[in-house]
Amino acid sequence: MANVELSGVEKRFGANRIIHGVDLNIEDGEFVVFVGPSGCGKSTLLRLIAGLESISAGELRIQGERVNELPPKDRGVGMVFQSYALYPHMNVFDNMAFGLKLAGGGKEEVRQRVMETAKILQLEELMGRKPKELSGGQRQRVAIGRAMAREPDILLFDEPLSNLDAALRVRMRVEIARLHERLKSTMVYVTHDQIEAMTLADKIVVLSAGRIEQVGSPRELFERPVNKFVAGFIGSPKMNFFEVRLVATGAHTVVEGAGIQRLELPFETGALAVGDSVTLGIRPEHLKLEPAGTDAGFVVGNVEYLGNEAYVYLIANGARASLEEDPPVCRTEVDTGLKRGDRVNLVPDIERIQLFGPDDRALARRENRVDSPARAAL
Amino acid sequence: MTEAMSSIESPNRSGGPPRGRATRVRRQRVRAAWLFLSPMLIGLALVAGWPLLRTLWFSFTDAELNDLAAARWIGFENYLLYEDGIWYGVLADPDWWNAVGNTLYFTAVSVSLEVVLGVIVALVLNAKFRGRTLVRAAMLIPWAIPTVVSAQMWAWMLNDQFGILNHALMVLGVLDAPLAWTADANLSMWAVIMVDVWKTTPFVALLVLAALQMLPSDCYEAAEVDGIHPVRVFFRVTLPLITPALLVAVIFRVLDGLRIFDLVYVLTSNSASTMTMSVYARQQLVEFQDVGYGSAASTLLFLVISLIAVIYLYLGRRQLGVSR
Amino acid sequence: MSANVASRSRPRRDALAPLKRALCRLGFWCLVLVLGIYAVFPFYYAIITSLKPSSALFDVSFWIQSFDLSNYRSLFAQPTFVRSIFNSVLVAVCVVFLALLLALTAAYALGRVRFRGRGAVLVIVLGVSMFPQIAVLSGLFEVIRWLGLYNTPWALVLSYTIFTLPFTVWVLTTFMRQLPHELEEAAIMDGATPWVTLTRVFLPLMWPAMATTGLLAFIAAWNEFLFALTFTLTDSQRTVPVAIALISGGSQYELPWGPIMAASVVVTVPLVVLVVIFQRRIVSGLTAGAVKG
Ligand SMILES: Nc1ncnc2c1ncn2[C@@H]1O[C@H](COP(=O)(O)OP(=O)(O)OP(=O)(O)O)[C@@H](O)[C@H]1O
Ligand SMILES: [Mg+2]
Repeated sequence: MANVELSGVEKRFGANRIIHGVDLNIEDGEFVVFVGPSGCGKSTLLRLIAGLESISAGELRIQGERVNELPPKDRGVGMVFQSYALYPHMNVFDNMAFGLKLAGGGKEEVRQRVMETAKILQLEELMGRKPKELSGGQRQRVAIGRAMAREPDILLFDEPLSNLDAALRVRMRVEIARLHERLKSTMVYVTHDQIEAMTLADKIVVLSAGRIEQVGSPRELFERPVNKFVAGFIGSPKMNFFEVRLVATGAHTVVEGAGIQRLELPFETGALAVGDSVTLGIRPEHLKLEPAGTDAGFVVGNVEYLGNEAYVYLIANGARASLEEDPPVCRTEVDTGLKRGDRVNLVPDIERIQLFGPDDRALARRENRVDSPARAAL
Repeated sequence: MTEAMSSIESPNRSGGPPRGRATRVRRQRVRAAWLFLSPMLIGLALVAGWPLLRTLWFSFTDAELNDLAAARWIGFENYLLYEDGIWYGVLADPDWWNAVGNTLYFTAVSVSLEVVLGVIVALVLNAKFRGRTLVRAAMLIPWAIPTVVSAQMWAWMLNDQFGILNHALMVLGVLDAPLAWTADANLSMWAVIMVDVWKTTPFVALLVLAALQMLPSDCYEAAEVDGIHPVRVFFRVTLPLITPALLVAVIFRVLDGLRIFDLVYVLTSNSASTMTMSVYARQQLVEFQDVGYGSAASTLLFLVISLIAVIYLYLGRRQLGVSR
Repeated sequence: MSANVASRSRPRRDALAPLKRALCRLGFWCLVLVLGIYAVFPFYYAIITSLKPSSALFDVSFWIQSFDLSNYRSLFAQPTFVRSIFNSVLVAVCVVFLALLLALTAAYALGRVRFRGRGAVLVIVLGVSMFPQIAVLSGLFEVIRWLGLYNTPWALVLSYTIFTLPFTVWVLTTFMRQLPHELEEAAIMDGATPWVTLTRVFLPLMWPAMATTGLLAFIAAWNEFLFALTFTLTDSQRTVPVAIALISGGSQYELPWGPIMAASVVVTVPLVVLVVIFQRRIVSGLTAGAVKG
């Protein structure tokens, strides 16, 4: 059990700064997930906490104590690697006992600890096997067991499930959640998988280019992203963004853009003026499509059938489909009967619209909403 | 791989507060690295570094083998000395220059033959046929046989009276009288070359074979589709691709050739027609007990080899750089 | 038009193609045969010679005609020859152990730790492997005298590290680099020091590489001649190559070819067996040492 505090933590590799002053508090017993695009520094940050990398500047505290210079084994952390990194020549028992033996545990004590851990992870039958005689999921469990055996206060996972197939991934995800419930130790988890992040995390940390973009519960990040990056990163398929212009500010904020007719939105525009361009964000599931005539804003492009739902890709009327930009997409029922070339209007759920200023920061929603129209056509 | 590992020990040279620049782990690792290296470094210093320096020092002295401590500094006299209208020293010794000539001749001829033969053998071994493993194992046998033993085996086969080679050649009608392969001054160098080629072609062939087996097969399929003649394919596709491996093989072989000792010594003893630089230096050092003079010759050999190694590596790198 | 030409020339080509292919095959097999005989014949001939009684020694023949062990018997009746085999084994085994021990720790440092001066150390190692042995002969002679090792096998154990060590370090370093780095990080998380990581995590994974390099080092030490000739003096301290080179008969012109060939066979058979068994390993070791350098 321990809390972790990072203040102003930086990491440089030679002249390249990879982590730019990260401040983060991880509470005791919390499950924190790092997400972000590839190369943003998730692994590096995790390895800084583990002690596998040296901290270039700033301070890392565990239980209030500065641990920058402490070797990994004295930090009370365990780590699960993406490739498992099990010792190939040792059997499961020895893999899990290695750290305990090095720490100077007595033979009986070590055995007991290993067996306890094995029991939690249901590894008892496998104790005599070598890693190459195990399935992927079993190897992963052993890797977790090895990290747990020394009873660390903090467990670190670097994309632990990414080498497993989809079904196993779901099972292991549930197992990890159960494990957290049971051990109640602090866990820090790096993943690329949105669903893993959303289901496991108490707190998600979104990173981009070595900086924290936002920290919050899955729900907060999904519903109230602080900027366009987070809004676009969380959620699948991605949030749709439309470039729009402000046509009225003040008491009534009104926007307009390509394929989007005048739309009044309950947002504070702050210092923005009429004519400024802003970004309107709406998730695919918060859009409805309405058949329309020649004045329609959009034309249906692709329709992807996914069984329980369908993704309808749209092209702004009069615009040409471009491969450069993600086309707007709408998540619909399966039997809407829409085909390529149909003309439609988008009907967003006004409550769910996000507006981002020219600096990509989210604009604040107006608290005391005046009776805005429940529906509006884009 | 250094990329991968650097994670733990990436150097932090740029600025930052003095504290916390390196974890204890990293410092421990670097200290451990030097500790781990030290036995090897001490070993190399003891058997290579220090002896080399001593050899250099002896070459400027009049040291004698049975009393090395009595060595006195005499400057460059071992190398070159002009006295009473006569030049003395290694550099004025016709025997030395004969040895240099022999060594270069031997190296050039044997390495060329080995490369050509090695490529042929490698091409054969690269083809898929039954018994390939067997033939490959057979090719390794000459490489594994101790040089001294090879020399003796061939000496017997080349024996002037009872040797099988003379016998075979006479039966075939090529010769009317037996040849004294190892004793005849005109032939003995060729005997040495013959044995060396026999013994070291497999090494070259194995290196080339390794390179051949790494070649992408799609070039060949493309060439086959285009109906290009196999010989052309070899010179246009295969040869350029295996050139780096060949260069490596050649440098290894050239360095080995320049310092050759045992084969020549056993096959033809100290005969002048085959004496190489190493044989010459050892003769001075051990048989004539003239450590100063022999060390001068050794030093010269060392310089020649270093020079060739440096030139070769430089050229090789440039050529590789161009072709890349 | 072109189709026409092709169809007209086809019958002739069809008739010749199998013949041409058969000729090619024949030529290829001849080449293989010639190469195989060329490689093996001297050894084969040494064996038949060694099995001849001394009376038949000078009758040239290509086939085994007798099975006479008298040459071997007289060889093993000489205590110095038996002693020299023992010396060779002792020296080669010790050299292998010494070289592997020193090279293993060095390879860990060179392959897995980034530190200032690593490149320089690698260049030194490569440089030493190019040394002509003769260039260190007088200096090494002095060192060996000074250590009191002259005319003992230990002089050879020490001096042979000059050519076994650089090579072993080089090959083991390349092998060491291929081990996954997460394995080492896992060991660090478990609290392993570099020494523990090396001995308890890497060493068990290095056995194949160690076997290969050990084998090559063994062969190199077994075959060495110059140092063995120079640093030993008496018959009882010699290694086999020197013993074979110095076998002499009544006069210079009457070399005892029978015993020489028998000795050659005795020395070579273990190597040939090793090579045939481990040829894959040897090839991979040789090419790892050379190609990656
Ligand atoms: N040892 C190193 N030396 C130099 N640069 C490094 C090192 N390790 C990582 N980097 C760089 O740091 C950046 C962040 O790497 P990191 O592995 O933390 O990314 P990541 O977010 O985990 O990416 P992914 O999702 O692909 O695993 C990358 O640009 C990478 O190139
Ligand atoms: Mg990563």
